[in-house]
Amino acid sequence: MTVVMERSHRATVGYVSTRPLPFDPDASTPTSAHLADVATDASVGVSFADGEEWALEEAYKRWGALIHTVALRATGNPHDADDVAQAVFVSAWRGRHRYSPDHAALPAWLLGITKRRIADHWESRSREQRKVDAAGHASEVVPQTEDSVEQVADRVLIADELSRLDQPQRQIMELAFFDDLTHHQIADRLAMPLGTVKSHIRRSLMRLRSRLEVDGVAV
Amino acid sequence: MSQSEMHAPDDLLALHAMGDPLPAAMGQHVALCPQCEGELNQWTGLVATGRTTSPADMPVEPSPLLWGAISDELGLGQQLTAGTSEEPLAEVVNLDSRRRWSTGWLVAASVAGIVGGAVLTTGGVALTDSDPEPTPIAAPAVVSSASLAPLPQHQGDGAAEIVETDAGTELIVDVSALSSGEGFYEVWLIDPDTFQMIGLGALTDTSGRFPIPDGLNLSRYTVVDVSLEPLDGDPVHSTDSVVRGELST
Repeated sequence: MTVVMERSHRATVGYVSTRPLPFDPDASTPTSAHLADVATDASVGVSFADGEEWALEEAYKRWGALIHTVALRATGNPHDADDVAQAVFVSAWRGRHRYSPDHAALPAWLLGITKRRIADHWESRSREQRKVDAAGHASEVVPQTEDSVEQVADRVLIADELSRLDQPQRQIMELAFFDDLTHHQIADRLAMPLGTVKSHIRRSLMRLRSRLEVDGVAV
Repeated sequence: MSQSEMHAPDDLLALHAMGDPLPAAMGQHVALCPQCEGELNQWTGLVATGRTTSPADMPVEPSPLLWGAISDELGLGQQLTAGTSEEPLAEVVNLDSRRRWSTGWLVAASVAGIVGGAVLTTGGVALTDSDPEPTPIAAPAVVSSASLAPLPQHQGDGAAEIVETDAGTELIVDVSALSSGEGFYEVWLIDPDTFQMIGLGALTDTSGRFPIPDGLNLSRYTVVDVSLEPLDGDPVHSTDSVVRGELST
């Protein structure tokens, strides 16, 4: 499954900023001063394509951790992950004229660039390795496949969203996803009526899906 | 419309993907309806990925310095600072755009430090200007000092000193004209090699003194950083640095 990359063209509520807003966005009139704070993911994407610098910074705030984590999993090294993430945002901004908000969510587009920058990273590592190997110091460079980049992105998004669930939904979903327990087993474990468990799971899944912008959501 | 003609509700499909059986008539419909089948496949994919997810998949924040490096490489904020005044802030960000972040921001900080120092002595706005004799006899011993310069898209400047006093080692921070925003300013010491950082506390005025924890290796934590932190109870650096500088002896 590719939660992120297969995305509906419809503007939906998106993956939210990793930080809560330091103020109530409804309490004041939106002005340029906090445009970024009240912008939807879709409007960040539109402003990004229009070359508004605040949108790049906001994109970094919202998806920098995601991009970095995907890069970290692929490279296994925080410094390399920072380098990859920097290259992603730099090349995204320089290539923003190629981004069409109507065709992809900005995080999906950024993840596509991330895959390429990770590939660049491994290519350059392999080049270095060949030099080292030629000098007689062989060791392994193990690049990851493109699929695993998408899978990592999906899992990171889901884990992040799970962590945002309130209790008891969070505990229930962790038992269901991490421990693979059935609804009955969860109800037994938590001494909770089965219907209540199902209700929590149903609501949590709906929320997860709306956050993950899965394609094909019925209107 | 009978039940077998109605599309299956989303929440039933979601629970079915989790292993619950569908009502018989609904099951017949879903088996024959491409739309419902597509919906179910989406849920099944989400659940399958969810079941491969583990606590180790939680997102990991990049270095809090990374945004500054990106901003530096792209030369962001130049339009904002260029031409607004004779303040040499534009020089801070007008660096070689190809410089990569491993060295970029440190060079930027040191260049900014020089420029920032010029502002301090000529601008007439800094606290230090009010004291033309800044070294009274009983002054604490200055171990190292730094000029603090604005990050791209921010304003302000300042100075920082590590001093030895009878009470111990302290960091003294003086700032002026910092970018305003929601939240509060916090002072950090950062190790530029590992990006580990120590939060020393909130800066609530244009000047503040912060005790340095005993045993902190000041030869490693050489960068003074003032960040804008939202009042969200999250103790981690917001990544929104306002001014920064490198300590030197």
